Amino acid sequence: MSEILTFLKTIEEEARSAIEKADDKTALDNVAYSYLGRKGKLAEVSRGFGKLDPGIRPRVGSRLNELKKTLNELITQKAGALTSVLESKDVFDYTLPGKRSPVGRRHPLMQTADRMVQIFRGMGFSVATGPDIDTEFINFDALNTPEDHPARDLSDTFYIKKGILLRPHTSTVQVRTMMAQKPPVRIISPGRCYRSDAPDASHSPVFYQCEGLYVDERVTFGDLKGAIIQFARDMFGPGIKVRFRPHFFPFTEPSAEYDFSCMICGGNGCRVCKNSGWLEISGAGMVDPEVFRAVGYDPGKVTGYAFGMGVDRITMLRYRIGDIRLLYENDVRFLRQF
Amino acid sequence: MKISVNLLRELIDFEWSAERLVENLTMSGSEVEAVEQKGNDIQGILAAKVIEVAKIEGSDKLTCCTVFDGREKIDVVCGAPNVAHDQVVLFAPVDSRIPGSTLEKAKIAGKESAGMILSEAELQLSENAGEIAVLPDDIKPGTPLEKIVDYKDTILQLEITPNRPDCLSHIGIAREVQALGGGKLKMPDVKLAESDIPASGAVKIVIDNPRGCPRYTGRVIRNVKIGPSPLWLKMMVYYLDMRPINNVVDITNYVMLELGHPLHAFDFDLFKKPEVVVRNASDGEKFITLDEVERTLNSNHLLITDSVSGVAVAGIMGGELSEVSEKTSNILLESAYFDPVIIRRGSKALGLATESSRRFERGADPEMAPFANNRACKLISEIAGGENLSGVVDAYPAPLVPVEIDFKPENINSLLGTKLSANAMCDILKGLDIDTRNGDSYKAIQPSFRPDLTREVDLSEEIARIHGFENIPPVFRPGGALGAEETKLQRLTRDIESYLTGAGGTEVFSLTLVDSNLTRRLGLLESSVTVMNPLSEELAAVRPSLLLSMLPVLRRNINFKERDLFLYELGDIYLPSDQEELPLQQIRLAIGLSGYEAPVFWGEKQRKIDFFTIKGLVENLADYLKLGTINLRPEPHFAFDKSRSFVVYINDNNIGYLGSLSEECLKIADIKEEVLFAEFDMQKIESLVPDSLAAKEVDRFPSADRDIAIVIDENIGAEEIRSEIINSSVGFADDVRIFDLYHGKNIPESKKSLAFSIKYRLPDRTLTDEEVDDVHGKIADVLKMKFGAELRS
Repeated sequence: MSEILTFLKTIEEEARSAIEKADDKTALDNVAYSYLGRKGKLAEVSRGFGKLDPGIRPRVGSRLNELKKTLNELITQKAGALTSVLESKDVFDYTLPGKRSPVGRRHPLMQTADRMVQIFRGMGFSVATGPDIDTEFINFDALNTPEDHPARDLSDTFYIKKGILLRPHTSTVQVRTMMAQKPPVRIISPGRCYRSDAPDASHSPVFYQCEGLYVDERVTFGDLKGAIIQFARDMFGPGIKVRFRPHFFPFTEPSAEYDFSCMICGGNGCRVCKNSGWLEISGAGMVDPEVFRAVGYDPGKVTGYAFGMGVDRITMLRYRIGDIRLLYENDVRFLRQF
Repeated sequence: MKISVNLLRELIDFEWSAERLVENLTMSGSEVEAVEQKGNDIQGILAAKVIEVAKIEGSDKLTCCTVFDGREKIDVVCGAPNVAHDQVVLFAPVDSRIPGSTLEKAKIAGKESAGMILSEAELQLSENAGEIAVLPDDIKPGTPLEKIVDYKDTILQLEITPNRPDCLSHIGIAREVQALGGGKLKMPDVKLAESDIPASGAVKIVIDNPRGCPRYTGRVIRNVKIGPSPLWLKMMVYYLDMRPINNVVDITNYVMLELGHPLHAFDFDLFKKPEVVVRNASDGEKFITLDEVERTLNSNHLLITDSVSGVAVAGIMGGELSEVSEKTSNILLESAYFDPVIIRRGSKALGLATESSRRFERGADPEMAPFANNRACKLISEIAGGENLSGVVDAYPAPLVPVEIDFKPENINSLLGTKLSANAMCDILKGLDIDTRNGDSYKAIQPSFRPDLTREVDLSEEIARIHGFENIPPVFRPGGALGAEETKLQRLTRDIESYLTGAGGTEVFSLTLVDSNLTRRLGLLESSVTVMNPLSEELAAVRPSLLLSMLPVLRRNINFKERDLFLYELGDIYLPSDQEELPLQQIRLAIGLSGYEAPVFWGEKQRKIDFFTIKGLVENLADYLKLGTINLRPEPHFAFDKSRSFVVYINDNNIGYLGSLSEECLKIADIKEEVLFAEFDMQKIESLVPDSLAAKEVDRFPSADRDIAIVIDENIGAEEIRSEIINSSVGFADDVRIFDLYHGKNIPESKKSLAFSIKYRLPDRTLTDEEVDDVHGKIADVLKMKFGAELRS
């Protein structure tokens, strides 16, 4: 037997043992590469083919092909064995994470605003919007705000120029709607508002409100209570209680502040509600006749209620958020929770 | 406003507990913000007499005192400079309690000390900390503190709304308690001893501006002795958050807290003439107020003068030169009524708000002026001695006429949703000391202490709050449409949000006020709306593009190592307008991407975000909204890299722009990652969204799928080839996709290889192989001819 055939025999033995020993896919790939690859041992023999004695060439050739075929078969067989081991019950690692496509999140403020809109829409309110930058007339005069009221001060409100300002409430939308449309009117107006408050845990110079207005014949304070109570129950659950306390606003009479029973402690008293069991939500009241006069409605014919509501405030209560700035920083680590 | 429950009980005898009082006041509009218990931690304090005072060797301050507490003599060490033989003092024996500690035997400077002689501050009865409290001589040693002064009190912190100046007083709150059924209000005693000399001969009052000062009353008291107030008075003033000064000043403050009417005491001897002239100040007139500040007045300020020079800025603060001091013996006591507007403007112009100005600018009670004057003079003569000249000198040129308010009980019921009888309403008003008349109609007479009540609707609020908001039944109305349908834009917004969120986007909601520096450096400040009085430069511009608020959000997250970002925001932007009064407001949609596309999982490679990621996202969005096909046209944009800057078109409608932020822009925004950004005009998108959709049937015949790969000049756009394939397929090509793009080996330089997969299909029949081969071949020919394409096998 020629030297070359003996060499092929040795290669075969080595290869068989290497295939046998390969205990994972990578090891097997390496074996395949080192024997059958372009720079593998068999390829090396093939490259020296031309230098062989012509008499022996056919035998070496057929032996080479035979060996390639054998090794290929062995490797395929072994690969099959390896795979079946991998997929057998014992080794299949189902704890590897699932391959998830990325999922986005809606901003918690917007989720809350949507929920609020949904609730009020169910009560027959439509959504009205208006400009963030508006006139002093729409912002204050039409809302019966005295000329020297502190809300008009430069220290409280951002002005663009004299008489034009960034609205401190979305009551502007109520005024604009009433000026454009005859009663009945039943709207909510979500939108950004602006006040010259330095940012801290409970203040943001830009914040998000959703005010409501219902004007018709015979709208009563009882209707106002009903709307707010219904909202509270829908938003925070049927167990929530609402109370109305008299207050003062230039644009409503009677005026009220309304509180929800603390949803964190169930009204028993905790840090969030300062042990009172109540959380102050916002202001409300019956639209002042002066406001009706300013927009051209006849206060002798219609009555109406209006209420404020902070979307930020509701969001913070809904998700137990302690600092309003978290809502406006847009840190994705925070936003991913919702 | 702070309310002492003890003082309140002097004005109205109510049986409620403090808790009930708090609840009732809160629910009727005087919100109790805090409740403070006074004197709870004081126990066993009594009066004692100092019998002996001996210096302690080696100490300049300490003395060893022997006191008699009514039963025994006790030695204590005392550090107060004013301790003296024979004084009656407040004494804390061993085991007694003062705020913060329980007394124990101690050894001070080598001396046994079995107790402590107290200052008022140590008992938190007042603030005089440096000296011990000295009691009147007639108090017997051994008298317990509670017999000397009623120091146990409950102090309520109330939030009084600006429409209720009457509630800035104990009498006002007592009236609320009366209205709520707590009892009957008792006005304090004002019977005072007077001399035979009439005050009208001692002072002349002239009002130059009766609109600014409708009423001015004065009383004169002679030979008062100025000194510290008695303990009860000091304590009450101190409990109610004012500083005890001296007996006369403390009395004026006490009466203000009791009756709500601000008073001012002048040292009458310092008047250059025995006259009061109330006039407007002249512009630039200088005046030194009590706080030793020289103020410059203007003609809107009301000045009290002695006809020669100013003695007080009316209703705001007295003058230094006529201030009551230890030397004072003759007093002129002012109790006036000033116009709210003049005081509010004056106080604002001076930047000076006082307890007095706070009450006048909300509206004091003109009818209370003489009463408060009498009340204070009674207390002054009782406490500081002196002789009241007889009578109040009262300048009231045009007495204010109370408003008569017509009201209809049915109107009030229909506003409130109540069924109260007219009598019930009148009873509520009576409780508030509002008289009513019932002739042809109902009338309520506005009380002088209620400037806020002028209309029927104002009465309805009074009735509602005393009746109790909680007693008005809520009404649950059925919904019913009042135009409650969504607008197209509202629906579209929801669609976009749900698409982008589903695609992996995180919604951002940012402030519309943005950094004016960033805006300027991006070259947009000139074309932005700016705030006249911003809080800071960071909040001084109103965003002209969502990019301005998106950049800081990207920076923040990237700095926190959250580099794989897909953010979107739907929000308003603002642009200055030449034609309109108000700036232009537009709703826009912004998308910002950075980092890698998706989280990496085992056995997969992560894909870095690139231009085609955002393009694909926008193409998908357009598809989802049924806008039509997106076309990009290269156009420079201030924020984008020159070669990655495009305007987005649907047909010929420019809907926005997209691109890759330039290095320059990233540097300005301090962002250390590649960012892709797009911004769209929502109104334009809205106009392109079809209002309705007609569904197509699905194809029923199988397709024949063929691939074609060509090598062409690299300047030829892929889309151009793709359209050509569709055009030359005689309607057979149903779908043409690019599945490979290759540069490099085997491809000549400045050429590229593109591979397309073509789906041939007809809606009405199956194509034969021959037909498909034929068209496929023709397409290859066209590509060869038109683009010089070379076919790859």
